[in-house]
Amino acid sequence: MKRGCIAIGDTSCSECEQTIAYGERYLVMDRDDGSRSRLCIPCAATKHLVGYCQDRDRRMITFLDSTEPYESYIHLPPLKRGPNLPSDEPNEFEGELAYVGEVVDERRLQELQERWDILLHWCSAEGTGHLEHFHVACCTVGIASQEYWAWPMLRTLTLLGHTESVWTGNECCWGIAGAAIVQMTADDGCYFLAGQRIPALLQKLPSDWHVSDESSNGGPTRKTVKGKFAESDVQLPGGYEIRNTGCVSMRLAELAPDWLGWKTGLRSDPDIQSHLYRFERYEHNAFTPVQTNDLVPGLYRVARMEGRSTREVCRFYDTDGRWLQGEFYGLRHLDAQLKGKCKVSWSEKRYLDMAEEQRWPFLYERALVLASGELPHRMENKSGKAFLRYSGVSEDLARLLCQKLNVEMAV
Amino acid sequence: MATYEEWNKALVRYFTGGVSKGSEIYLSVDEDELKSIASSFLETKPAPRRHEKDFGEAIKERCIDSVRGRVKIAPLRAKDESGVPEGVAFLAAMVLSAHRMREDVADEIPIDESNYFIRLRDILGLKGSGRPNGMLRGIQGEEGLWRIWNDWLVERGWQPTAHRGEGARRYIDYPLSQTILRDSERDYLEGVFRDAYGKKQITRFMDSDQIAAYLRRFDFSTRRRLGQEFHSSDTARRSIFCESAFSVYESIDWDAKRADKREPHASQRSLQAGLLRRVTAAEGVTYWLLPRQLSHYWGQPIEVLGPDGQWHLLKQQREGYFYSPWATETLFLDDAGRYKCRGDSVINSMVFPARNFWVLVQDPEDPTGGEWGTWAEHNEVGEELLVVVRNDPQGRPFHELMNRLKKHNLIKWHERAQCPKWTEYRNCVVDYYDLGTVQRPAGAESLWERLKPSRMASIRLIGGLPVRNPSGWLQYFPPTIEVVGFVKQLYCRLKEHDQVIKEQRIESGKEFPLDAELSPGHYEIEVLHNDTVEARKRFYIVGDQELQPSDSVGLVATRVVGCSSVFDLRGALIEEPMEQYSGGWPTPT
Repeated sequence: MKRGCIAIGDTSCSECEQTIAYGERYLVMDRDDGSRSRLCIPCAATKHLVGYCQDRDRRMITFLDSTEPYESYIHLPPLKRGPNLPSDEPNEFEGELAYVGEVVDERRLQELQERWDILLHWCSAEGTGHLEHFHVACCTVGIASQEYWAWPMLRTLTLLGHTESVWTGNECCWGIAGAAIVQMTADDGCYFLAGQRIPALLQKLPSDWHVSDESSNGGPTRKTVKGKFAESDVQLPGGYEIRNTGCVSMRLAELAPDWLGWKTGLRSDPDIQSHLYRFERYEHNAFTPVQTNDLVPGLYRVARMEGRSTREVCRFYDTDGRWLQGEFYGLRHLDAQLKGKCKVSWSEKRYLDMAEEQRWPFLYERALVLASGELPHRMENKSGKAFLRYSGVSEDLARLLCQKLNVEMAV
Repeated sequence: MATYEEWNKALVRYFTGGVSKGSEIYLSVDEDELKSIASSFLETKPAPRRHEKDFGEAIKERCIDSVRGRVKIAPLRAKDESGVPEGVAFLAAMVLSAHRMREDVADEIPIDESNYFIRLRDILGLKGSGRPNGMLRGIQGEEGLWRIWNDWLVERGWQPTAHRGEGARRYIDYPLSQTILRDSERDYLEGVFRDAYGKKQITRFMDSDQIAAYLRRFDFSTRRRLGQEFHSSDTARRSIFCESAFSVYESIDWDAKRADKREPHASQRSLQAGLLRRVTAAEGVTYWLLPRQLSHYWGQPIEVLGPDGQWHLLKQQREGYFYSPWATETLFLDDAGRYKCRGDSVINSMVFPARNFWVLVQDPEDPTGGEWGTWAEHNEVGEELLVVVRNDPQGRPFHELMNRLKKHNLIKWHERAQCPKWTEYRNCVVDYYDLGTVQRPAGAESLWERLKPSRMASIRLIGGLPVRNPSGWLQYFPPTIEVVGFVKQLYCRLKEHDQVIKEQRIESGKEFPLDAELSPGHYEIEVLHNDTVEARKRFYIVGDQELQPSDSVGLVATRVVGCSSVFDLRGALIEEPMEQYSGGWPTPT
């Protein structure tokens, strides 16, 4: 028997062993021996177990009878295939952590990176818009599907310094950021390009810039440049400008508030009334129903019936009785702070490791990602617990951010 | 004397200013237009009454090799530093020749190249007859310049109208297709309007829709060409003629006697205000004025005096339209509302016309956004409409017409909402091409004209990955072509520079599939029924290398209250906080 599910906790794909992110759909199949197999959508697609069907006037992903194959919406021309990386990648074990999913299908990664590049080019030409508009573009490019929310994609671009996004109530608008060259924290002779990017702009870069294409680990191509740059901005032909931000991650870490100041800035939700909502508390990576007379400070999923639909939101119940709203990872971090000291591990290889369940709030994670222009790698220890590894983080940066967030740092 | 380059730039600004994206552009140059361009758009203004001569001199100086007596076409294929084709002024000279030919030659005399080139040689200062030396036939000659102009318009989001003809008019149809009203036709129309005003068939303050409806009903039996154009099935052609006729209507001084010679060009014009309907959670349904820009609007600041006694600056919302200056609770007036304007020497007022109904369509730039407005003067096949009709006795014939059309299954609507002063017919769709089977109630002709479909078929380009600059769809993500018609079977053709690259029969409501691997370039879709082209649309596939960066950079910022200061975060840029507060932390639900 097979059925579709939505991941709400620590669920991994049986095939690629990657963690299925919160909110993503996956297929559960019962095996003959009674065990269960869980497949993420890409792995299910390789086995032709997922496709599209028509539901009234829209196409929907389905694991049951589909009328159109999943791959029918991928329109990119065939890509060049490079050599596959060996599956027994040596020497990448740090302490007790191992990379997750490093059995690399280079073709898939390359294809995904090219789609991200196309999305970034489109954003750079479009300029600004609403999340719905961005969602349509993500679906067209093939990075998202209609059922998925596009916020994770926009979050990725914002982490990497390409866009900025702002929420006003339930509406999100995004805007492309100006082109910038950002100094990496760990190597003052190495920079990466952030912000607006189109091929025509890249062709205007000075010829003495040695630009290399590298992976950002799940986003657009990371364009790195080696050299020394004066403080001033760079003027390009055609009136374009690239701003020299210097070491922006360090500056952001210095200017950012401490975690109490950050928490104070979160908006409270005055509409949460115990007699109108159902409450589920976040415990051990899952939401468990609780009674309204059993509300203690922590992270909750609150649900309210509105007509025929249910409105679910995540809120943090603070010690002063306020219900705080914000991004899920930030609220979850508050919950982790409440339950015990948060910890990270920093190594001389400039890796900063943290448990995935203690992922930092968005503002501080941006400082970590802007240190190298690379998104975190997913890791796991021998007991299968998920971790995030941020590369290129200097000790000073790590210490400063840990101090601000009241996080213990092991070296 | 203004240079050729000045005239070239001025012509492009004049004919594309104030035109909404998706609209057709006509390079309709005549003496009146040259005078307007010279007075408002040229930096080096010619002496009074010398604008035509000045224009001719500029053309000769740049385009004519006076030693050899030939035209220099090749240099005109280039684009200037801002990407504007350099051949537009020469094309304008060709259209001016066509206009002069139409003035001189009666409708009954066939138009051919010899008639045309006499006038063109006169403007170019070349003796002799026939096609001038240097103007080769085909793409090497002036046709190449027309193609460059047409492609440039498509890349900027407009639809071109210049097209090749058949037989002996193969090349001269390009400039002929751009000519609109002749001077004698303008004089005739002024007489028609004055006569109608005297018979109380029209009033002084009608809008362009109402004038267009009147002209469509008028009997032009003594003026064959006008009849053909005002009753044309080509919506774009009919619209431009109605717009030109409307400018004649606006220029009439009703209090003065008719002059022996019509005063060229309107001395004073008014902005027309349509209607915009919005729905918000806080306020529910609200109606707002939707002022249209005049064609040839060049961005000059205009203020309008509102009912609150304050001057409101009209800000451009998009090409062709201003932002709503204020909401209105009164949709139907017995006399048109006039609001004073200042800031432009020609525009003296904004007019909210007296009407008995409004026909609104969805915002073409944001069809799912929930706003309906007077964005279009005609409806496409299968397009949903919102028809609003007043509820008092003056609205009775229109309600009757709607009911009759529905009874005969010619129209359907999703819901009829009764408001105190008006009724909304929501999500109307006209289901049949020929509405003539229904007897129109007396007085409801204007609504019947408005609802009547102008075409048998329409083309919609949806989906894909659209980009703005240049206007088109990104390579590998072309649009989906949806063809809708009143007949079951249609024939669809995809063309690239007049070459058919794909064609097939298609059922109405189905999609015409496009190859995802279409290479960058200009394409045209034609839909035919019984060998007649019912609809035509051009689009552009943009290569990655052609994408232009947006100017809207850094508009969105996250304001952070830091440990010691406040700053704005824009991607990887940390900046001093700017005036506008842009929001707080991400709060997904």
